[in-house]
Amino acid sequence: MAVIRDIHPNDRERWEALFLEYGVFYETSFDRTVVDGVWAWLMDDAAEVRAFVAVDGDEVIGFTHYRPQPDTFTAASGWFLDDLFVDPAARGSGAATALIEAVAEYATAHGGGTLRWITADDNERAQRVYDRIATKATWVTYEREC
Amino acid sequence: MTLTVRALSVTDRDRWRELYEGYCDFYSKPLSDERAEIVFTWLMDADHELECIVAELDGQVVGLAHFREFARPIAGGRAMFLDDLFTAPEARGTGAATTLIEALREIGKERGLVMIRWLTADDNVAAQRVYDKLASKTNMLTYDLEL
Repeated sequence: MAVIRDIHPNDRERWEALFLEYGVFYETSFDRTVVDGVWAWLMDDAAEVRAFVAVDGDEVIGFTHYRPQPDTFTAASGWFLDDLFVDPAARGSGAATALIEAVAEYATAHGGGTLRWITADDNERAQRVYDRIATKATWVTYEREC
Repeated sequence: MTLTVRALSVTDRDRWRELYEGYCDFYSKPLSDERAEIVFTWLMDADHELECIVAELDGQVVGLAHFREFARPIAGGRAMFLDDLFTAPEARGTGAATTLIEALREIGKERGLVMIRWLTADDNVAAQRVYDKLASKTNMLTYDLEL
């Protein structure tokens, strides 16, 4: 069973390997600047993005990036989970659920509100996990480059 | 008819409240005095991430957009989230919503943001007709976990 904890400077190598693999899944190849920039955010207590890692024995097998956001519908705090990835070799171990639960626990202790995330409509494996712990909303998401 | 866009000002408070109330009613989230006070305070607070621009039609404020920047790890950069967008019913079809989104895009460009993201209800056909001309509808599903 995976243990969840805050990311630590010593996790750099494994986090990077998993982050790159996450990028492959989303057909995104990260250049050095992106990887270094995101890592710097994660190591900076003043940056909004935080991370938890899932650890099995000595091995980091998954990560999630999350951040607080204001919720205008409640005029209170809200949360967004940007990224979640578990090593394919460790799928089915409950690590993804444990990572989300850790974020939910942290968020509850820091103002609560709604924890929101998105996933591709064809990512059925992820949806099977998410459907057990959260509610699928009916929002349509639009994106436009600046 | 001339549409212009500018930042929300403290003197817009009453009109902002009317418009935001219209938006909240549309989403069946009635706007209490307390919530209006908190959100307006966020908008006027330079240290708070939420910002607002308004559209004016011949000098009258007819639309609003609440937005904020967010860190987007997968892009290694910052992006913009458009939380709330509303046009007064009497100003529908004037291009106010499109003008507001175009203005946000300009702001995003100036700030080096990678993209703008927003949500709308899947049954809000009128909004989607406008958005489909301006942006790409993604295949993303949203999950909410109430804490």
